[in-house]
Amino acid sequence: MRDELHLMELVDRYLDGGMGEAEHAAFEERMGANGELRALVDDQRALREGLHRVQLRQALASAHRNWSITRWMPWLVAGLFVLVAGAWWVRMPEEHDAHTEAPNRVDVGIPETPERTVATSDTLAEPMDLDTRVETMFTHTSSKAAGWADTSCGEGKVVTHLITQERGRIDEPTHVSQQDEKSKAVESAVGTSGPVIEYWDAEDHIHNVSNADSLAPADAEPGTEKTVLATVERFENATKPEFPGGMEEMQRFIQENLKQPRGTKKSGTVTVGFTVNKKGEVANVEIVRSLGRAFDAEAVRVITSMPLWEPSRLGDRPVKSKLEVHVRFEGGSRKGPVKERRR
Amino acid sequence: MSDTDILELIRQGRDERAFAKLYTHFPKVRKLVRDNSGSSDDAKDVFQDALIIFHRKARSSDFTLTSAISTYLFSVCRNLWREELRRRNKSLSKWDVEDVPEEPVELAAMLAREGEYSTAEQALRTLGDKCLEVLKRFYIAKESLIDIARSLGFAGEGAAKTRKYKCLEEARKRFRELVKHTDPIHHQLPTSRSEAHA
Repeated sequence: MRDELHLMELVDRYLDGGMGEAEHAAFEERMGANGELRALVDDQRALREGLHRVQLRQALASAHRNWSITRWMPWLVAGLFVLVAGAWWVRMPEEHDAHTEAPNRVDVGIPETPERTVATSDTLAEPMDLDTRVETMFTHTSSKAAGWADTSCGEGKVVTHLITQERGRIDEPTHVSQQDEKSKAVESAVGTSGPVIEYWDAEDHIHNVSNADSLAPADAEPGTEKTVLATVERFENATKPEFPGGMEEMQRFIQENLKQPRGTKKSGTVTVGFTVNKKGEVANVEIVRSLGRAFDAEAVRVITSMPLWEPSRLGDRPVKSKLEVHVRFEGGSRKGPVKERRR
Repeated sequence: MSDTDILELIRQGRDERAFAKLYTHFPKVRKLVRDNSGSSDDAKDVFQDALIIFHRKARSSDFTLTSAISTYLFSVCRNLWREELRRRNKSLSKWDVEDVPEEPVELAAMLAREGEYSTAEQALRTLGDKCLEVLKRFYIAKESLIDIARSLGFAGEGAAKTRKYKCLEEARKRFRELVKHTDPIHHQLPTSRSEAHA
């Protein structure tokens, strides 16, 4: 046993290349004479390589597995894509509504200048696919001209026109509610900028009103630089988003929380645009009309501190809606705005 | 990743990563085997044998790349598969790979030993787990007998040495038996192969 152990170590050393030159030569000579030793060396070498093979199997199996997976990856991704696309397609009506925005303009305080009654002008700077554009712009709205207390907020049929001035640029979407007074109000508010306005009368007839107050079809004015690009043909009855307790409550909330920025005496209005999302949260707050940084910040602070709204609803589904609120600062008063009081 | 980078990975012992990289050459081999009456599994076996051969080659200190690894792997696979077909007594008339230039003698010799090593692998797989562990640690990881004794719970260096000896002896015994009982054609292959390339 001792001899055999020693012999094995010798073979190991030979195979490891751990022998000196003389020993190496002597060992090979011994191998040449002794067939049994030669066989032992060969077997031991084979077993060592066999061990390597055993050892490598794991890495090989893992490499093969990885390869198989990557091989199916494109199909997997494609399959997943199809699945997602399918799911999206099925859910589309709902998703669609998610994109539906309902711009409502609500006034707090008294409008001070006539131009503030101009209908919202959503400008899409980037040319988009027409369909998309229509979708994005699709809206239910009331004319802001009706004043905030009277906001019908899309209760009633509303048509939105996308009017373009240059290629790819939507210049002037106008919204007209079905009541003639309102449409007139919008028309006059738009003034001389001259978009074609279309509205519905009580009998559901569509009328076009040019800036000259004439009734004419929209496409009958090829010479004008403004042309009707698209008409949104979907009309929805949506409820307006509701501040808890109603709009008077919102006004009170703003009045109670708004503070005149320290060291300022200016009075004026900050127009804040924001979204009431499906959950009723106030989001995407932006300054539509600024009165200066301190005023803007204060207005945003108050708007964002509002409690959850009751979201606008299309049928029984909550939808996102867009609002603009005029936050009025009554200069001088430290406590905040006092309605109707000006210095 | 370049061929030399892959070689470097193997020398650092990062086999898994190296094989993963080399597996990009598999589809070509797979096609070769499947086009010549083989299955995907055959292709996998052949390719993995080729990777093992390449691995052995890369490990040796005097190895330098004389051709692209992909060329080398493919030519090894072609030879391995041709021999396998011959072994299965399949007609080679369907062999539709254009005749390639003679393989280097070195490669032929390398292939000749492979059958023997593969048998040794089979013999080792029949050993107990502990035995295999001792041998792997000693011959591949090059751990010292003291470390092996410590991690595998042997009384001491002497015990580990005896255990290693007994395991290797057992493996050799089983290896011999396998060689005796294996298809004789298989073991004549190395000879016929060397003759073919003589």
